Amino acid sequence: MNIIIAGIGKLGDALVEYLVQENHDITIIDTNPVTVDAVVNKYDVFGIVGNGASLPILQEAEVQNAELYIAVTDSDELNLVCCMVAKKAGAQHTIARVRNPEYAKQGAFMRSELGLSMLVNPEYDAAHEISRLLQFPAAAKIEKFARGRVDMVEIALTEGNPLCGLSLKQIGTRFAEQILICAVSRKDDVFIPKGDFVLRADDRISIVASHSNIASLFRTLGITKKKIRSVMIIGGGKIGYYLATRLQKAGGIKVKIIDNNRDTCYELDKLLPKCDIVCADGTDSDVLEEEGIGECDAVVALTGIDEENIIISLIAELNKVDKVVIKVNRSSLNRLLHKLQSESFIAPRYITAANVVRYVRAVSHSSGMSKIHALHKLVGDQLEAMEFIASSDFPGCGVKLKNLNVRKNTLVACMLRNDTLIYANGDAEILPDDRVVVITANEAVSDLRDILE
Amino acid sequence: MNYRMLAYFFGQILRIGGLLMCIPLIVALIYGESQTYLSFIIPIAVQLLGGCLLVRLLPKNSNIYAQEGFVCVALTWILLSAVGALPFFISGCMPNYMDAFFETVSGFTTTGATVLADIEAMPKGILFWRSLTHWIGGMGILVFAMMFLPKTQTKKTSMMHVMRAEVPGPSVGKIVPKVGDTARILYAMYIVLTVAEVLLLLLGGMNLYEAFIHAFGTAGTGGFSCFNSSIAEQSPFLQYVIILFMLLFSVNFNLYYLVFLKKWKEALKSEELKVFLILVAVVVAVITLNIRSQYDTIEHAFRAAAFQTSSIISTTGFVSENFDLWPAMSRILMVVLMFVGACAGSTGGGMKVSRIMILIKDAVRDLGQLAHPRRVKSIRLEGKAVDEQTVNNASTYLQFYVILLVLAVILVAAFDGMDMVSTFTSVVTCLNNVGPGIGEVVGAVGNYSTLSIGSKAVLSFCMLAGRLEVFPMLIIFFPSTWKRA
Repeated sequence: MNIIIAGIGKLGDALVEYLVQENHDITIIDTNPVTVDAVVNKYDVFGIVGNGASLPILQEAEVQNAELYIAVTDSDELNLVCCMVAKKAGAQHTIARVRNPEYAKQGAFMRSELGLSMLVNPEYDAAHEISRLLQFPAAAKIEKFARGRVDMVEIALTEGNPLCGLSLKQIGTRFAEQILICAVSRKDDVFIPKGDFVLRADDRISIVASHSNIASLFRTLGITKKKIRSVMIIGGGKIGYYLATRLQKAGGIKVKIIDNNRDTCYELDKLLPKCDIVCADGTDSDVLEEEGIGECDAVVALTGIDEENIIISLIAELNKVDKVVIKVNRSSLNRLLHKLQSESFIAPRYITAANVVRYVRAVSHSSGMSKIHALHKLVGDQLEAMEFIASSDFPGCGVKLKNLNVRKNTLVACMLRNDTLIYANGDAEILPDDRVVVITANEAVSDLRDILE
Repeated sequence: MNYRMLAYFFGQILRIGGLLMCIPLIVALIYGESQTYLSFIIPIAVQLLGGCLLVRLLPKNSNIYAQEGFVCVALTWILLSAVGALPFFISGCMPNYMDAFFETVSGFTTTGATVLADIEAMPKGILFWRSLTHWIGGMGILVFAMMFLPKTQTKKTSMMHVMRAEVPGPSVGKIVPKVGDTARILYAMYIVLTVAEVLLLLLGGMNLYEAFIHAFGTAGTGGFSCFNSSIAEQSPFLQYVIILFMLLFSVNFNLYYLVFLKKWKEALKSEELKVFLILVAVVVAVITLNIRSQYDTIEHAFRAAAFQTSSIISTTGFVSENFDLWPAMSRILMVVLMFVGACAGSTGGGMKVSRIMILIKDAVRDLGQLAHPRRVKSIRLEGKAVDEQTVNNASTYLQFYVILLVLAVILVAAFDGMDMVSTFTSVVTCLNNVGPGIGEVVGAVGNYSTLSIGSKAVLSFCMLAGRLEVFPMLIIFFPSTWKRA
C-alpha cells in the first residue's frame, strides 16, 4: 500500500514506526530537511522536503498512486488543506489530524463535506483513555472490545496478591469468575500463557472478561479501589480540557485543574464553569499539598515534560493518592516506569497511531471478509489485541478451536455472539458474525484468516 | 473632540424634538386650548430653525469615539430638556423656569417626580407633552434619532459609542448588525407593547386621552398621570393591567426580540429575568403579609403590594396606595427596590438587576480569593463568562453612584433642611428615576413644588445621571474631555 505522511512530529514519527512494520511503501514530506534526513536514515522510507499541501511536491510524491494520505503537521488548518488538495490530486483516502477543540465537534461534518476518510485527535483519544482508567481505577490499563461488552484490563501483581503462585488452571478452578488471562509480561519478556503457566509477583497480567466479571474478580482479590470522586489535573492543555469536559459530563466528579499559565487558566475557566482552576506551578510539592493533593482520589499529570509528570506522580504517591495517571511522550521511558510502580501511563501518539494502523489494515484488506474492528497494542507494543467480525467464508467457521490450526503466539480470547460472551475453550467454535477477540505477537494480522497456520 | 460632529448631532436632535412637539400641539388643537398654542409654536419654531442651521454644518470627519459618544449623550439630554421645558414655562403652567426644567428632566429621564400640585387643572396639551417626554426618554432620545440618521452618516461611522452611553445596563450589544436597524427593532417592539396597553386601558373604561397618558407613563417607566390621585381611584382591572405592563417594560427588550424570533426557550432561560421575577414575587408576598391588617380583603392587600412593588422596582412611580402609611418593613423594602431597579436593556432605571448580580458575584469571588489565592474564577452571567472590564465597570459605577448619592444628599439637606427620611429618599428616588419618595414632602401623595431652586437643580442632575448611568454626566466635568488632544 502506498502511503504518504505529511509532517513528521511526534505522531508522524510514531506512524512511520508502526506502518513500516506493516510493510507499506511510505513517502514522508516535511519542511525540515534535518527531520526528513533523520527519518530516512532510521526507517526504510522515501523522503521529500517541502510543503505537504503544495501540488508539485504532492506530484513528486506520486500522490495519484497513493492509497492513503496522512496529514499530521502542527497546524489543523494546514492538515485540512493538505488532505483536500491530496484528495483532489488523486489520493484515495485521506486522514487529517485535527485537535483544536473548536473543530472537534464538527468531525462528522468535515468528513462528509471535505471528503476526509478519518480525523484523528491524539489529545481527545488520550483523554478518552484516561477517563476510562478513572472509571475503573484498579486497572492499570483498560481496552474495550465488542461494543464495550468485553474489557481487557491490565493489572500489576504485587506481593501478597492471591493470584501469585497459582497456575492458570488452578485459577480457573479456584475462582468462580469466568476470566481469561491472555498475556503476562515478566521483566522484559511477554508470554501468551498456557494452562500450566504459574504467575509470580511483579508480573503484569492482561485479563479479558466481561465488565461485571472483572469487577467481581477484583473484589475477590481485594484490589478494588473506591470510586473516584475528585480528580486533580496538572497541566491545562488540550488533553486536560478534553478530560475535564468528559468528567464533567459524567457528573459526580470534582475536577481541579492546575496550570501555571494565567491566560490558559482564564480560557479554561470560561470553558469549564464547574471546574476549579488554579494558577500555580504544579510541580511544586508545596503548591500541590496546599491545593489538597492528599484529599484527591486521582491525580492526572499532563504537563508537556515527561520528567515533571514523573515527579508529580512521585509526589502523588507520597501523599497516598489512590490513582495516578501520567502522560509520557518518550517510549524509551516505559521500562523505567514499570520500575517506578507508577500505575498508569499514557502516550497519546501511540494511542492514535494504533487507531491509524487499524484503519490502514481495514482499508488494505477491504476485499478481505473478516475486517478488523479494533486494535490495541499491549505491554509495550509487543502484543496486539484485535477484534474481528467473522465472515461466513472464514475457513475456521464451525470448527472446534482445539482442532483449529492456530498460528504460534496467537490466542483466540473470546467471541461475542448475539450479545452473549463465549470464552474460547477447546470446545468452542467460531461462527459467522461472531465478534472475535484475538491476542497475537505476530505482526500485521489484518484479517481473521491470518491467525491460521 | 469633534465639535462639528457634536453640533451636527444637536441639529438632528433639535429637528426631531421640534417634530415631536407637534404631537401635543395637535392634542391642544383637538381640545381647542387656544391659550397654549403659542407655547408650543415658539419652541417648535426655535428647534426646527436651529436644527436646520446646525445640520448644515455636516462635517467631513464624522468619526465618533467613546469620548464624543458620552459627551454627545449628556449634552443632548440637557439641551433637549432645556428646550422641552419651554411649553411649561411659556404657558405659565409653572411659575419659574427651574420648575419647568425640573419637570421636563423628570419626564425625559422617566422619573415622574412632579412639581405640580393640581394636575387636573392643567391644559390637556401640556399634560400630553409631559407624558410624551416619558415615552421618548424611556427608550432613549438618541436611539430614536439613530433611526432617522441619513444612511451616508451611519455608513461612515458606528454609532455604537452613542448607543452604549444611552441604553441602560452593564453591557450593551446590538441585536442585528446595523445600529439603525437595531434602533428600529427596539422601537417597533416598544410601540407594539405601548399600543397593546392603550387597547387594554380602553377596554378598562379609560378614554383615549387618559389611556395614552398612562400608557406613555408605563412604557417609559416614568409615572406621570393625568389624575391628582395617580392610579389610586382607578378600577382593579386597570390597576392589574398597569401592573402587568410595568413588569413587561422592566424586562430586557432583547428578550422580546428572541420571543419574536420564536426562541422562547432562550428567552425564558435568562438568568436576570429569573432573578427579577423571583425578587418581585418574594417582595410582593412579604408586603402582602405585612400590610394585610390595613386592608379589608386579602385581594386588596395583594393588589396594593403588587402594584407598589412593580411600580417601584420598574422605577415607574405610579401610586395606587399611600405607602407612607405602611409599616416600616414595607417602606424599607420600597427603598431597597428603588436601588435595585429593572433589568438591563429595559426602559426602567435603578442600578439594574444584572449589575447587582455582577457586583454580588464579584464580592463573593473576591472573598473566595482570600481563601484560595491561586484560584482563577471568572464571573458568569447568563451562562457566559463576564469579561473583567465589565466587572470593573460595574464596580466603578457603584463607586461613583455612592459618591454622587452622598454629595446630593448633603446638598439637598443644605438647601432645604427637610427631615432625614425625606432628604435621603428624595435623592434616592431621583437618582434611580423612580418618582415618589418616602415622607410627607416627597412621598406618595406629595410633590416637589416646595423645594428650593438649588435642590431642584441638584435633583435634576441626579435624574440625568441616573438615567444615563452616571458616566456621561460626570465625563462632561472632566477637564481633559474638553482639551484639544
